[in-house]
This record gives sequence, structure tokens and C-alpha cells, in this order.
Amino acid sequence: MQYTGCRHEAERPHSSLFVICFLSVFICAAALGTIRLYGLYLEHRISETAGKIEACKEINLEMSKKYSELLSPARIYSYAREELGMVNAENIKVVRVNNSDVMTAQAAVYPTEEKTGFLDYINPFVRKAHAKD
Amino acid sequence: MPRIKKDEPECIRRSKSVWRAVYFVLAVLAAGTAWIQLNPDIRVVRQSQKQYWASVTVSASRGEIRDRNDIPLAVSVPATSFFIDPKYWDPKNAGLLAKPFEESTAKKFRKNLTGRFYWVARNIPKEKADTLFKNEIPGLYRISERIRVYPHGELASHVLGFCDIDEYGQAGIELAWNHILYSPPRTRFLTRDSKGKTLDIIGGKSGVPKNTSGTIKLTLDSRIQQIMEWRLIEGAKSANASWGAGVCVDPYTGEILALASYPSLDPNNRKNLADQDAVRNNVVGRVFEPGSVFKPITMSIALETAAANRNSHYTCKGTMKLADKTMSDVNKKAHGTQDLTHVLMNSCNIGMSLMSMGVPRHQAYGMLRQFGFGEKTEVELAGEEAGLIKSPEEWLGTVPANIFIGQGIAVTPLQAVMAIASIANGGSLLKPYIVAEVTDTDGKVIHRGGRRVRYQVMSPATAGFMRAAMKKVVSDGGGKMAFSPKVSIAGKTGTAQIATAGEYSKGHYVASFVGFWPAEKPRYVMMISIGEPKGSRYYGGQIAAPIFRSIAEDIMQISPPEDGALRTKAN
Repeated sequence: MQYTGCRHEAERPHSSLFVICFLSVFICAAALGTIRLYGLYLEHRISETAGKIEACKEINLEMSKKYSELLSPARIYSYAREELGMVNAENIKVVRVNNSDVMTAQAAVYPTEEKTGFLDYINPFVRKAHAKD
Repeated sequence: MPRIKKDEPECIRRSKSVWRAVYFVLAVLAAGTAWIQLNPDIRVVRQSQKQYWASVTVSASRGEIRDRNDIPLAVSVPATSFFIDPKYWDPKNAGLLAKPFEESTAKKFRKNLTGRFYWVARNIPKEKADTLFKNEIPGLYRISERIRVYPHGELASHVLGFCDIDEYGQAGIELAWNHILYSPPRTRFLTRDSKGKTLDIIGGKSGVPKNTSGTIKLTLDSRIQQIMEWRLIEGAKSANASWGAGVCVDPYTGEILALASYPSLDPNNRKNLADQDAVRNNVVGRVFEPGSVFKPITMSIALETAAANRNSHYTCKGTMKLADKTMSDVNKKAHGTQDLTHVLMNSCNIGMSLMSMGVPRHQAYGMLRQFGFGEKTEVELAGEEAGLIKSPEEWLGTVPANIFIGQGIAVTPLQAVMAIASIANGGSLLKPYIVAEVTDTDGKVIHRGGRRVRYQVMSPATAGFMRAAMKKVVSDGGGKMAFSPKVSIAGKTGTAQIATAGEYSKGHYVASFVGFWPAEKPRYVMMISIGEPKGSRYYGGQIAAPIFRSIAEDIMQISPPEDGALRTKAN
């Protein structure tokens, strides 16, 4: 009886330790597996997102092509001629104006210089904004 | 028999040590497993990938090429390619390939194949590919790729060039700037299930693939380009010419605004690329004797070297004996005594030959080199030729006189137009450029084209005199066909014979016209060359000058007037 009791008393601490360790290892393995699965799930999501980005890029490229086709000078020109009735301006003449004539014309329309005398400046009945102020 | 009782503490101690050993082994195993899971051996990974993954190299998206107004001229769009994995392919299904593709394709896959990968068809437009196979065929797989597309077809095809099936530049800007536009191909991983069915996972485990291509903005104006191409093709066809070239530049910056070559081609159709004449860019890749369009340049050399001045006069009797040969004018017409302006207006060969006698040959050669003849302009286009110019030691007998009338020297249209641009801008020879801006993937500007003066080849006074003389050529001289009441054009006609086997043969000519407008303050310099016209009309003044005029008038319709020049519409 003493021996059995001794065995019983001797095995009890070992069994609980074994169970704890086994559980720890099991939990670790399960955690590892979970992390691995979660990693795969994330990879799948990355792939999915990458796929969506790529699809958007493809749509963007297709639209870019269509946009550039719409901007084609040949298309715009033919549309303007056929649909809108555009014609070349045939009676164009180039008139070259001398610089001196331009200066003279500009001088003729220059506004007269404002009076900025002392009396004008202090006149309380005239509220004018002075650019120089 | 009495049992010997063990000491209790010793029993517990031994048991603990054994269990500790077991736990230690388990821990080591767990750590090893975790380590292997997290950092698998590369050989194992490769082996598993061989079984479950198929890697295919596919082209990445190539950078865009745009014109100066940001209109895309070359873009890459998605396309679908088909391939076969012989491991899962049943040759009995080969008949199904005959209808969507070709009989030859089906025949190729009727036999048993070795290996794991065979292309069936590449870069089929997505819409078409979607309609090809409604039901999946085991062993036939599709993959998304990129295909280079030129949305405007023939427009600027000689500038843009083209790419091969892997989007690698083969000509033009596509080749010269391939290092910017090209994004290296990436590996695409395809997963397989037990039946061999693939799942296209983009970029594999690397997420979104990085595109490293840049974007190029050209100095071309697609509107001017379109006008030039239409007019050049129209003119070349009416003259039944073998080839044609046209180039328009800004004389103050050196920007190339339009560059056209005939015959043209649509690079979207790869069968067109087999035609070598159409692929050739005549503006930079063809050299020919310029003929009389060269006279303004040689005359300015004579003025700059003081071999001639504004009061110089030359007497033309129609023909002239020089060394062992006879120089003559067209139809041996005698022009009488002429000043420099009239020599140019009449395009007098005798006058130019007499002028050439006063110019030291080494000096003339040096100045021609300064004008950029005999060397590449270094424009950013592939396939440029340098032209031909004889060394001064070879300038014997009639050679100087010939060079002064534009024979015995070979130039490209781009070289000629840049030399004339120096007359238009007051004497500065500029480096032409066609790339305005290069941006990287992040939109950062990494290159910007700009004005670069190569030489001051003549004084502003000489340039001004030549501009006035060239204006008279159009208003009163041989270039009357280029005269326009809408815009003041200055220019020079040229008709050069083409030498074949060392002899000038009749019936082979290059008709050209080079000029600029508005003559008083030039904004555009342009050259039009029509090669080997067939028929009775072959003079530059007859076939190239009208093309020049029509282009100038069309451009004027779309470009706003300069300060001081008011456009008005008469009644």
C-alpha cells in the first residue's frame, strides 16, 4: 500500500506538468497553424486587391486610348468640316502695322493725368483713391 | 519477497529529468517546425512551385509619348495572349484552334509536344479575345499582357517609331528613348489545381508590380503634324513620287514642330513594318544632294568671308567653262549681269559658280561644317545620318562650284532646315530637339529640352540680307508658286539630279523648297522634299513650293497672329 501510495504521489506532479506542456505545445502548434492560415488569407486578399488595382489600371489604359482617339486632329478636323460646316477662311489678309503707328495710336487714347496737387489732396469733399498711397 | 523501497526524492528527481528531456526535444521540434515553416528551404520552394505554379514572363506597361499639347501619341493597352501547357493539353483538341486562329496554328498543336510552355497567339485585343473561347479548353490558357497602340494611326509614325511584340523599342523615339519608356518584363505566376486549371494571380506573391517606365513629351504639335502629313502625301501622290520628306521647326528655339515622311505607315498593323521604304524616316535617315536650296547657305558663306558683298555683280551667259567641265544654267538661259539678290531669284548656277571662286576652300569647308553639314544634328531620334561632304583636299576643278550650287554634297532635310533656320533667326545655328520633357514614374521631370546654340554662323546683317533676298525669290523669282496673299513667305526652290553609279541620270530628281514665314519675323522654318517625281513636272518650284504654301496657309489658320501682325478678314 505504501508503495502504491508512493507511486501515486510520485506520478501526480509529472502528469499535470505533462498535460500543461502538451497543451502548451498543442496551443503553439495550433497558433502556428492559425497564423499560417491567416497569412494565406492575407495573401489571398493581397492578390484580390492587386487584381482589382490591375483591373482599374487596365480600364484606365483603355480609357486613355479612347481619350487620345477622341483628341485626334484628323477626327476633329473632319468632324468640324462635315458636321459643323467649318471652312477655311479664304479672305485672310495680313496687315502689318509699324511700331511707330502703334505708339501713336496708344498715345492718343492715354487717359489724361490726374491732378495730384496739394489742394486736390487735402480736399475733404473729394474721396479719391490714390494708387501711390 | 520484500521489495526494496526507493527513496522518494530520488524517484521524483529522475522522473523530472526524463520529462525535461522530452519537453526539450518537443520544444526543439516545435521550433524547428516553426523555422521551416517561416523560412523554407529555397530548393523545396522551387520544387513545390514547379508542381503548383507556372511562371510566365510578360511585358509591363510602357510609358506614354505625348505631343506638346499633352495629346497621347503612343499608349500601351491591355491585350490577351494564349499559351499551351503540353502536360494538360490534349492534341485531339487542336482542331478547336483552327477557327479562332489559323489552320497552321492548329496543325502545330496536333502533335505531342515536349516541355511545359508554348505561345499560341499573342497580344490579341481584349474584346476579341473574350469572344474567341466561350468554353475553356484544358491545357489552353490565357494571360493578360500589354500591347503598344498608336491611337492616331499614321500620325507621326516616323517620329514615334514602333516596338516589337515584347514592347521593346525598334525605331524612332521608341528606340532612342527605350531606356525611359521600357519597363522590364515581370514574371507572372499562375497557380494550377489538380486538373491543370490555372488561376491568374497578378504579380504572384510580390503584390502590385512596380512600373518603372517614364513619360515623354514631344515638341511636336499634332495639328501641324497632321496638316503636314496630309499635304505631303497629297503632293507626293500627285507627283507620283517615290518618297517625300517634310520638317518644320521653330527658328528661335530649335523645336521640331512637325516631321513627316512619305511613304507613311500605320505601325498598329505589324505587316506594314516589312516595307523598308515606309519604315525609313526620310527627314533624318536619307541623304541627298540638296540642289539650289543650298544657295542661300553658300551665298551667306561668300558674304561672311568677304568673297562677295551686297554690291557684287556677276555676269551670266548661260554656260561657263570651268576646269575640264562646262557649268550651265537651266536651259542654258543667260541671266546677264545680276546682283546677289537676282542671282538667288534666278537660281543662277553661273553666278554661284563665279562666287565660289572667291571663297578659300578651307574656309568654305570650315563654314559648311559649322553649318552642321557632314555631322549628325544629334536630334533625339534613332537612325540619323551624318551626310557627306568632301574634304578640302578633294575640292578640285568644278567641285567648289558644284558645292555652291548644291551638288557634290549630301545632306539630310533636317540639316538643311536648321541651316536655313540660322538665316531666319539672325545667324545662330541651333541644335534641333524633339523631346520637350521626360518625366519618371513619379512625375518628376528628369530631362527638359531647350534652346542650344551650336555656332553663330553669320552676322545678323548677313542673315537680314538673305531673308530679304529669299522673300524676293518667292514674290518675284523662281518660287512664285509658294507666294501666298495670306502669309508672307520667304524661301528658295531646288531641283537636284540624283547620281546613280557615279553619273547624274536624267529623269531622277529631288524637288525641294525650303523657307520660312512670316518673312519679316519668322515663326516657322520648313523644308519640303519630293523624291523622284515621275512625269513632266519635276522642278522644286512646280511641285514642292505649292505644298509648302498650302501647309503654311493651313498652319496660319490654326496659329494666332504675332504681335504687330493683325489678321483681318476682307469683305
